[in-house]
Amino acid sequence: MTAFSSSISGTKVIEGPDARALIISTVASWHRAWKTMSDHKGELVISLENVTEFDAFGLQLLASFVQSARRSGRVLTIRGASDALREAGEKIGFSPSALGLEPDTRGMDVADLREGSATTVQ
Amino acid sequence: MTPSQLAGTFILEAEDLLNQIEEVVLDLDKNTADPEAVNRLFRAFHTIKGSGAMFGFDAVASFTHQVETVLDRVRNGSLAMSRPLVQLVLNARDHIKILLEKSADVPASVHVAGESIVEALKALLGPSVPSAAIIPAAIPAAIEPAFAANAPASWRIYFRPAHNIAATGQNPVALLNELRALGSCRVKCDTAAIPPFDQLDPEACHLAWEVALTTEKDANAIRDVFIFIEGECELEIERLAATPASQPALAPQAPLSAMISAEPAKTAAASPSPTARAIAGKDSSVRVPSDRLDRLVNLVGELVMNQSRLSQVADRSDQSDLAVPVEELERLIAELRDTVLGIRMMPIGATFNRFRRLVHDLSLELGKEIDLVTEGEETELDKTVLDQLGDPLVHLIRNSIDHGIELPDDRERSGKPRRGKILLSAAHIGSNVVITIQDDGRGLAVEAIRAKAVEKKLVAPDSNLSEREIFRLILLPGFSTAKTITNVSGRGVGMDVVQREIDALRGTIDISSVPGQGTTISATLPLTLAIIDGLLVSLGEDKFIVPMSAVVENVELTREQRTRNNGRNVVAVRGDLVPYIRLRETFALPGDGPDVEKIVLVRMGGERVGLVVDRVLGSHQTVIQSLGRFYRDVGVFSGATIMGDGRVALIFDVGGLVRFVDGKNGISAKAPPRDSGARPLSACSINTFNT
Repeated sequence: MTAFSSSISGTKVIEGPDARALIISTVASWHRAWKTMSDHKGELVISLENVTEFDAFGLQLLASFVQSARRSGRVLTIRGASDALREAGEKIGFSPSALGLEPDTRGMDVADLREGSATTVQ
Repeated sequence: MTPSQLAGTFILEAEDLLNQIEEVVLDLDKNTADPEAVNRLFRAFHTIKGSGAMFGFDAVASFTHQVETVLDRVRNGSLAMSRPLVQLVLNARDHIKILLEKSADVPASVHVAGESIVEALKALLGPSVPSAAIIPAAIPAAIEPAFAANAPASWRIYFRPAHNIAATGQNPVALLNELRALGSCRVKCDTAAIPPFDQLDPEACHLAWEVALTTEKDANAIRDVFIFIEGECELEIERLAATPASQPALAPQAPLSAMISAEPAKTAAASPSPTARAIAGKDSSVRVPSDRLDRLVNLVGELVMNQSRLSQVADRSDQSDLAVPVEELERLIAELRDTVLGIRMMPIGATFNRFRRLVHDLSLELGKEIDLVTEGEETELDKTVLDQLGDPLVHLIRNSIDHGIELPDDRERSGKPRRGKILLSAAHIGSNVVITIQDDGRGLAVEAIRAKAVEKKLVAPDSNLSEREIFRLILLPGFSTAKTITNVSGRGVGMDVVQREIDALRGTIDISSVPGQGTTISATLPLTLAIIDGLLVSLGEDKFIVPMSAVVENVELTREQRTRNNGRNVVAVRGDLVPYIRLRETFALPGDGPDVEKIVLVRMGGERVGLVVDRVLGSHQTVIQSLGRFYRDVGVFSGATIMGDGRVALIFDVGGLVRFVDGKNGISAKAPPRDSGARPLSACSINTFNT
């Protein structure tokens, strides 16, 4: 599977290798795809618009990415934070903050960059 | 893995669990009030049910569910564990074993037998308790209907799965779903241990969960959710003090730990289930088909033989620089040989455990009360030896139960405890393993054995036999002093079979007994049948191997000594007269042999016998090769080995050789002597015979 990325005006957008699932069988591919962003110094955008299936391993990957972005002080936007992601977060016990859907509980700034469907964490 | 491989794995693991079940049930038979044993039993059946359903063994899953229902009642305290129930569970265990064995085509008779067990189980539940319907096999265990309704209680559950939980086929979300099926649930995931993204192994689980659950189910039902990963996760189950029947859902932001006001009941993760361990791959063992191990052992055998040839070539060669690498190769191959043979070594405990059931069933059948005590279960033996050891041990233990241990009333009358005892032990002694079966029964009746032997013309009426020699007569074919023939033993076909099978294992049997106090039968066996230490001897141009485990010592035999003994084949060894076999005569070899021959003294069943050879050449690492079907019935040799020079050396079967000579002298069981007290050499310490 191939990761797709594009860079527009300093914003790097990464789509996952599997557009529909972020689960144990696909996390390794997602991990590789998102790792390509590690050198990027500007704003990061993760696209989850078409992802309808999440499990604990998928959410763990996302939470790790969010945490690392926070620690490095970079702006991360989750584009397409669907109901499926929120429901999975609730069901599996992840807080919205851990998944980058809400501000970090430590009170860091958050800015919506895309018409209500994206959340940015910093 | 293909579906059939998965099913095969399930059957193997189920068999392990069934063995465990048998062990636990037999423990319960002694102490029916052991709650942990009941829990272990329940979990084992539960695992079989769950895995059986998963792999399509619907009949197993449905049947096991019935047993599990009853055991759940026992562990909930609403049904008492009793001896009849213990027996019923044993029967159920046997039935599951049959279902597994005949999984492809279960005969109707087996189903009928299963239904009768189910009926008996239902009868135990009684009319007041709603009998649990047979659940569809695919329904997860944790969402089965409740067996009994209790008042709702609140629980805090903390679990942190092992990193490799995904590799076990388990999914934390499925566990959470199962918990939700038990009642109202609030889940909080602890993400603190997730590593930084660039260090994250995305397929490893770094999460933990804290769950607040309100349910009518008890701690066991909650714990059952984790049954497939127990031992592979940190697990705490705590009952909260407050009854939260009217408690609203937890506030979203409130930490669950804040809900805990008291921790009266904390349940830690139980010991790992074999299934979980095996699936998780954390066991330090790997299942390997035994034929692959056999192939490996054979290859090492070939290697040992070729190394031996190479060493001989190097010895003959003038090239001194060959010596060091050949020696190093020899050392490495010896290490490889020991390691490979070590792989096939297995503890004897599993074999011993089989007999607990045998003792239990036969005791019931014969109305006796018997404890089987085992010692030295960790003693290791080659798997090939272990595989062949089961039948002779069954014979010996059956004999102890049937003929040795008295009925409880009889024991009481003779001042013994009502319960008899059979001690089954194993220990390493030198390069052998000695397995001992000792009972505290009535002991062997020396005079009755002697009278029976005379009656059957196995010995002459005036023969002068020691007590030990008389005991050994019971190993002869057709010998039995039992007054009545039972279906347990008493036909006289057991002990000679034991003798033959122990012989086939290159072992020996020793018997001792004290009237009224019991009998001890010891079988001395080599550790392995693949490669043995042998004593290389020669007769003319031919070479032979005497198993070193049987060798006691070597002494000389001069022509003058032979003449002085006037044809009687005995030699004085430090004051004792020891009979010997002149192999040159036995095998009708031409020539008279050297003036000074060697007697290899071997021990057989506690007695010494000499084997006269031309020369003793030294010790030899002997890779045993079978003789092939044409020589299968040659009882004198147990195999052959290929020497370094490519020649074949035959390996003596010491017991078979002695019996062969007995037969040749006309003093076998088939043709017992009527003259002057001659006895079978196999039952004598002193004998005078000619070959």
